[in-house]
Amino acid sequence: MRIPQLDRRVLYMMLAVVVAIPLLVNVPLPPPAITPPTRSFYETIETVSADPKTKDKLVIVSCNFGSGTLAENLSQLEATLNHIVSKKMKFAIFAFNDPQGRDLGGSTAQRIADKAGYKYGEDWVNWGFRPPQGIQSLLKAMVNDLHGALGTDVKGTKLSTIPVMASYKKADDVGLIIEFAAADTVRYWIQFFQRAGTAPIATLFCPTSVMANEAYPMLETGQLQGMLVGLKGANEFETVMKQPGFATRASASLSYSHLLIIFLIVLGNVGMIQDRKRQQGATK
Amino acid sequence: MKEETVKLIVILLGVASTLGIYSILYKENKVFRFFEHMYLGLAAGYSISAAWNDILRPQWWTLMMIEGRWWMLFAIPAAMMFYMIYSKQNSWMSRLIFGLFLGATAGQTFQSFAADYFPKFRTAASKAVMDLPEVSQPGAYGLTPFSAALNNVLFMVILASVMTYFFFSFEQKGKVIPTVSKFGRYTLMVAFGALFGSTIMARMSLLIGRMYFLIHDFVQVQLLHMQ
Repeated sequence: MRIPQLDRRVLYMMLAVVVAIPLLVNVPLPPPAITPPTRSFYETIETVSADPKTKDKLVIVSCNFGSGTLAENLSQLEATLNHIVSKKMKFAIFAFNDPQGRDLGGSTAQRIADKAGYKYGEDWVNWGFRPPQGIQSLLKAMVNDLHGALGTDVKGTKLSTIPVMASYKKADDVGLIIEFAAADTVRYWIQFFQRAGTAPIATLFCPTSVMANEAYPMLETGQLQGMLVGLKGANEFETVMKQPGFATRASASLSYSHLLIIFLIVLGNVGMIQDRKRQQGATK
Repeated sequence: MKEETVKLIVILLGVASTLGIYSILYKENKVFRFFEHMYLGLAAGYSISAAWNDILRPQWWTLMMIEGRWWMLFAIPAAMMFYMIYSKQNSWMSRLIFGLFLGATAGQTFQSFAADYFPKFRTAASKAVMDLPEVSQPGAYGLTPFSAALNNVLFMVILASVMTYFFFSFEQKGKVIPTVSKFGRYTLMVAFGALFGSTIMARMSLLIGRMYFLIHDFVQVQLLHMQ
């Protein structure tokens, strides 16, 4: 049988096997190299949590992803929230692109907060979901009045009556923005919120790997202070934190699946060259 | 119903949905179509529920009906004006509201463009004067001064050649311009290759996530009671 005629279902099966084996048995891999965006991501949280000017400020955890990108965004979120609660920082969950982010972010935060002894309303809050159509106007309104612009939390309680929000009223009270996204929603924070207060707010980005390319220039321009690139970034961050989780376990599957695809690309090209030679031979 | 039973039902539904959706890889079939439509229906219903529970009820209905902010009632005729686009006689009303929103959006676009692109223009321009990044900067990648300088030169050359490639307003004649343009095209292809590599990584991550669910959450935890 010629290579180009190989049934695509055989390739799918090969891929499934290559992905499944490292999830079933422990396949050793060297620890990942920590890339500068990940290191900077970690160091930004460390700096913000240690700086007297920012350590008591609010962290906005913007969860703009749905179940479609759970493997990447949820592992980033878990690792980051673990870091935030270890630094005793107060945070707010928020979603404006996908309503699922409200629940996925909220349930993950609840689980991690329970372990860390955080109490809802006192140490963290879930602002809920707001529609993407009006996010520019909402973010601009939030700059000077978080309570008025957002109104209520996910449970319908007025933000002005929630204890954790008592001292957080405007953009100047926000110390860090972390965006977990399946799209380029971090732009809205950069365009309308990040520099709207008296000092720029440190902004971190956790995109899916397909979205990361567009964000790299923003690291160099200073619009972003750090970035976790998809599942790979989450794996690096878990390594830095010394808290292995899903991303660490999945890293072997990711690496071997990439090797398989490279192998298949080479194989496909070899097949194509063979076919071309065969056709040339037949015409002669 | 016990919490564990509910969890088991949720996981079994997840397993059925995952396998049902992946069955398309074998061939087109009715099981896939069923789960595809179920997903679309669920997503639509979920969005409507979120729109009411998180936005309309707390931000509009409660304020208007319970807190007595009666003037919020005017949101209804304003919203209805959008739908006047379907009426030949009253379509002028839709133009009013669309015009209002277009004006607001245009104003915001100025701000978004400036905040988004001006820092990029500044960084791109500073490359020309060999602005060497600090090693600790996230974009620096631990470059030595020499490699950072080389990086800057490469950046400027690629920027110029790609911009040359996109000059369509005059015919690219002679030797220099087409050569520079061709170099720009090749660098674009390298960039697209990198983009596609990232796409592969994202798709693999999604597959790993579902495989982990099937292997760990379903088989290992639910069936074999392993942790």
